[in-house]
Amino acid sequence: MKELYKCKGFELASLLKKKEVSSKEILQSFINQIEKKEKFLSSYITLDLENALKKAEELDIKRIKGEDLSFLAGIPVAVKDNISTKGLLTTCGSKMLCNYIPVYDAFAVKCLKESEMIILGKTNMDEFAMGSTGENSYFGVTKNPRDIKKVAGGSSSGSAAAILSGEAPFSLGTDTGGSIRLPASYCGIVGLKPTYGAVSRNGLIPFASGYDVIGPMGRCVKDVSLLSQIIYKYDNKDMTCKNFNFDFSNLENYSLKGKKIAVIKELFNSNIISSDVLEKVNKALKIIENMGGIIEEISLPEIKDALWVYYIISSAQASSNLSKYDGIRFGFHPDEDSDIEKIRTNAFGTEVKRRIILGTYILSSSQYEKYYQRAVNMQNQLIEKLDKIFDKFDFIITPTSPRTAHEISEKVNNKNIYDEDICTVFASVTGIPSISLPCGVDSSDMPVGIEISSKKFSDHILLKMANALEKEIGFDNDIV
Amino acid sequence: MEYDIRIGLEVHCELNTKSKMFCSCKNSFGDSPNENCCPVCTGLPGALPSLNKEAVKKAIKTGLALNCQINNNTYLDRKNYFYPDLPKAYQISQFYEPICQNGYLEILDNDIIKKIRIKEIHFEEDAGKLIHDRYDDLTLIDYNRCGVPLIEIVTMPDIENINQAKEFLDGIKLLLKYIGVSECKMEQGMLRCDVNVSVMEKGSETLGNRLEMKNINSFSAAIKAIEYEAKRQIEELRKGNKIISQTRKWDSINEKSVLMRDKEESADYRFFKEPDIPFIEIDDKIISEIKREIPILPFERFLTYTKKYNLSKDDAMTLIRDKEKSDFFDKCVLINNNYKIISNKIINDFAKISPEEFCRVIDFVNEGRISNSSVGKIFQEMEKNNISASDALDNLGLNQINDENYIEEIIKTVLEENEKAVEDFKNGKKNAVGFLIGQCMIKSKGKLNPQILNSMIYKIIEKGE
Ligand SMILES: [Zn+2]
Repeated sequence: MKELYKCKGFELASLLKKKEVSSKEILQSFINQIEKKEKFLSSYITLDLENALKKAEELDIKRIKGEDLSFLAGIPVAVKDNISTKGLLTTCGSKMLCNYIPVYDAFAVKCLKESEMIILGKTNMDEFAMGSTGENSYFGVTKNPRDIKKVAGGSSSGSAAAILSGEAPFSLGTDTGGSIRLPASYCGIVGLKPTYGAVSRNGLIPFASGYDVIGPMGRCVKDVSLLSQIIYKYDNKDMTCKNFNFDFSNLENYSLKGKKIAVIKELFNSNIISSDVLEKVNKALKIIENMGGIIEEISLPEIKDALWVYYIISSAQASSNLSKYDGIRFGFHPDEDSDIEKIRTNAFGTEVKRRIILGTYILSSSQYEKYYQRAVNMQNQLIEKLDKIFDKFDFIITPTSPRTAHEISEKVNNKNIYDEDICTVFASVTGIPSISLPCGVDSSDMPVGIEISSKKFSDHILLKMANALEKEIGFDNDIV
Repeated sequence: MEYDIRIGLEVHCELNTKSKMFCSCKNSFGDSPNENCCPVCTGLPGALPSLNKEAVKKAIKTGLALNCQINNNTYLDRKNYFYPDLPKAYQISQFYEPICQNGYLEILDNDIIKKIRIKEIHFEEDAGKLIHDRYDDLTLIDYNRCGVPLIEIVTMPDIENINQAKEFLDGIKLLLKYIGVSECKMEQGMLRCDVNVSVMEKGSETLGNRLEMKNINSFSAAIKAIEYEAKRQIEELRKGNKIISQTRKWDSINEKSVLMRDKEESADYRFFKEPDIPFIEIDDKIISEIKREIPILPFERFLTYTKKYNLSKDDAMTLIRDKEKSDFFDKCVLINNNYKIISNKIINDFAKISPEEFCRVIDFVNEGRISNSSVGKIFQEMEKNNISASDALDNLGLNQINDENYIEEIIKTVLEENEKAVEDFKNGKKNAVGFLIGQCMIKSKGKLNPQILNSMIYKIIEKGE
């Protein structure tokens, strides 16, 4: 038998079910891997291994007693550090919250606990989820397990790196403008950004409330689908959460025959996307055609506008969401003499401050119409446009990222860094579900991600499509 | 030079919902500090607001009572500012699309009906309370009030004098109580008000620069603030000075206004739609359901009482100020048209009895069966024992007719109808009088005072000779 940490999540679950291994053995295998890898990778900010071991032992006893357990009961999971965990440090990757311990669990965490998954710890991330590389964390840069000189992608950097390195079989990430999909793509794993409103945001520490979503990450589509079943639940404490009945039960036997797939001309026929990435994505499109899918090029010039819509609205909302961090009631407060200005200057990183300043300016009464109001109007137009596209098409396919993972600190001072999000933000601003799965490696052996999006609340169908495609692509994403 | 004043008012009213605006914490006053708190109302990271439907309904009800248009597709906005009593660093409020717009409240200014236009009614949530003086060098925060639902009723600058301002504030307070949306306890801060005052040359069409005074915590202080500010501005103008738009603070101890900030330094609240709360769609069905719950309002009652029932203004207002009494009056006048007596008795001797029984007592007074002064006693007896008017008369021994005129009339009728018995009596048949007394008792259903009857019947027979 191969080592447990090398197994996919669903394989571990069946081994447990067949009682061939115990939860404790599984957990121990991942802990060993964490001890080996963590010093190079910084996937985690906080580990909670003692509690995890206790929980695993409890579950093994339950299993021996023959208690009815959910499919993923006793399987470890890592949680991004902007998702509140009761009694467990939750920092958002920021010095500002370096000592913040929530008094309540996020709804998604409650779901994990109800399914009796075992939380390993809290994963590293760009500060307050602002960033696409994983470099903006107060707790250090997350390295790409495939090449530790390279970034893991962000902002859910740790949640992606932990999966690829065998430090966790499952993880929760969050996606505001691509923060699940980009690191999934950079690390060669699978990450799903759910429909906005399909998964409760309750307890997710907000960056941009109108876009933030919690989503599942894993080695394969099947794992992501299994974790989806646990977190896609209605929560009346989140007014933007809709009560929708998703059917994740039947992932297999989905035929792409006759399914219509749109590719966006403005992305594919431009120099935005690197040739390496384009080649791999085009290869995947060929595979889809061979499977009977009908690929059609469409024009969506607004895809470029989506970028500024995203940066305007997300920065504005962030400036409001982050203004409560003043060190008065919780968070960083070094000494009695520290006033709010000192604390905020000291405890926020550069990127966070940049966006707070930008967002504050955007919302000022003299600029509101010019920026925020216009961005909202543009967003509504884009939503309408996509609705029309989905009247005709089942899926939209793009690369996940214009380029593969780059060297750490390579682009830090490059203002085009926001362009990394060009393929992901259109799904964020329109609220549609979008998944990234690996479709090959580039010339430097770094994974390329393909991104598939579908209409709102069709997440379960999107997973079926991705699952079918994943099998045909046959990408080998063994633990590195 | 003579001057006109224009006054605009912004009344902040705490709604009497069971729970707070965005969480299930209790909305109550006077509990121990920070007892009614949770992650939502203390603004802990990641906590989300869930809108209290009862608050929405109460805001709609207020809007309908003030003749407003209800916004079918409204939403909430964030008002961003820092203050230690505001844990989210923004207040969930309304700026772009207030829930109610374009209404009015009618008031009476020296017998003339005046409409004060309502610009809008919008939602707000209350902030926590800072306690500065309990410990040296320490400011404490009580978040119990944080997130309590508020509505802000904003008038147009239609109010022209102090009396109108008084009438408006009294009227709005009474109306809010009538529709049951707020307890209106001023001493508990449930009603607060901001005041705008501007002064202009008499007859001028353009308003002078507006001066705002914020957070005045009693209506009497608001009136004083208006008086002070109007006088101050007129004096400034007479001196040839200009009035600049300012926000001033009312110092209720020294009874004067002091400068808070000039308009130039006014805060930019960076309003934008609250992304955590979807659009609030209000369909016409809900609006008409709420409309049905609105009782006849104080101003309309006042007009009816004074015009239709001819009550004095004071009596009308005394009734109206107590909705229970006013409602009772309305029921009584449907069964009995002695409006003045009814109003009098309700004002002076009100008891919890049925309007029907109440009116029966009024009838007894009119029939002379009881005196005016025993009404209160009778009401109390009825309320205490939950009995009918005539049972109460029995219990109190008031059921006898002592009225000599009334008794005399009965005797005379009986004597006329029984000439033979009278004849017999005169012929020495002394016991014939017993028959006559019996006849009187039958006629009065046994209610005549026997002693009076006895002594009177002899006198009348003898006088009749
Ligand atoms: Zn609360």
